[in-house]
Amino acid sequence: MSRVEGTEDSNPINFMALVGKIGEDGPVFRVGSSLTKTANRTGRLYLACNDGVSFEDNSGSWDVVVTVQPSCPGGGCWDENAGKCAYNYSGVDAKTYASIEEYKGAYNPNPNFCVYRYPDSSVNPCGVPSDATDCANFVSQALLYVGLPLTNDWYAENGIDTPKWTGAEDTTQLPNYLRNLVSGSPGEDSVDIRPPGEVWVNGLDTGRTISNLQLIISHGSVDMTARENIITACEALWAEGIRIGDILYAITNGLEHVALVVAWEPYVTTWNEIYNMNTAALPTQRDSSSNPVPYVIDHGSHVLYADPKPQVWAAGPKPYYALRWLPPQETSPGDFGERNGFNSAAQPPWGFIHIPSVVLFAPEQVREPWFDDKSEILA
Amino acid sequence: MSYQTITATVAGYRSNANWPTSWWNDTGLDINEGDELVFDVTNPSGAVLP
Repeated sequence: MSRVEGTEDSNPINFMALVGKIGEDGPVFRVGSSLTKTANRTGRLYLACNDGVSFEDNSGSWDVVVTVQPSCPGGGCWDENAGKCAYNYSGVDAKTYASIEEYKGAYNPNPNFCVYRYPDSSVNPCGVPSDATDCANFVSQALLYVGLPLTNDWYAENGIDTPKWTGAEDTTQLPNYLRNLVSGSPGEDSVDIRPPGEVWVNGLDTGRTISNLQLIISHGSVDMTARENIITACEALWAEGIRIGDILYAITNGLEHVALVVAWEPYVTTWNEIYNMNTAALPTQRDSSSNPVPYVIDHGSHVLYADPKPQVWAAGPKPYYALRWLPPQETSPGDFGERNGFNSAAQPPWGFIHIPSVVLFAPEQVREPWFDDKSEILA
Repeated sequence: MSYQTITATVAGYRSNANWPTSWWNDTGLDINEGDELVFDVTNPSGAVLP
């Protein structure tokens, strides 16, 4: 008869078998000579032999090798070589989310992310129309939809975002999260295609300022109206590994902006060309002669300026350099030369951040998401 | 908790004092729900005898 009680199953455990329990009051389970099991509770692991009468007349011992492979919250898989949880990143999935949600723009933002709008907005961020959505929140939603894990430093809860989930500046969560995505994953890295001769600032190290993100590409000294300059930069972006699902960062004197690369399309210089483009098709294949330019989706800010609203053409993907264009105020989209100025939050220099296809986090960094399936993220 | 492997020696002899707590060998491992545990007795021939 077993002296241990409260076993995990109804079958009696053999006399003198090796047994274990998790937590002082945990149910006892049989280990025997070998066992693989998933822990069903949290606590200290204890081992004993299943003596029925007295332990003081026993002799001998067992050497038990116990291997603990941590669970990976948020759908990750344990990478034994890296010693961390691995999460797959699919740029196509990011594009899918951006395509679904972006067209809702500022007029029907995803209610699962209440602080989609700027936290200093005077309006209720949940369900009340406003003229200000947040780019970092929008990009974060897409990353989350792909399956990247919430962490202790980058998180939202269902409809109750932390204010720091919002905002692209260095005091918010997204920049450091992106740094971790890049620096924490082996075999891939961000790219530096700054013009030769500029000082190389190494890496997206934690603690650096957001301005270091511009290390990846700088248009600060490039004449953006010169087609050949832009095409040359785009070719370099492709050669350095920028793909759909990667991140564009714009850094301008504290006014940061972030967007998702979602397509490769033609070089254009006017809103009219974008308007006449079938942006809903979202081609993903780059062609150096016909589709050389990475297009981005941000968060509907251009829709906000379009009149009448919403204007799907303004919400769709646009050449990354068009982020600096203020959309036309008139009913029909105007030409590049008709705009009323630049978008001060999206001026060059821009940085591109390549997100590796597999990103790694220590399990203790990761937070359990509020949803069981990513489809629940969609509004 | 990070991935780790330890070898715990489970002695057959234990004091009967302070039972049943004293029956148990504390591995020092703090387990989280969902962790995968693999046990392997490397010296099964060292069977504990009553």
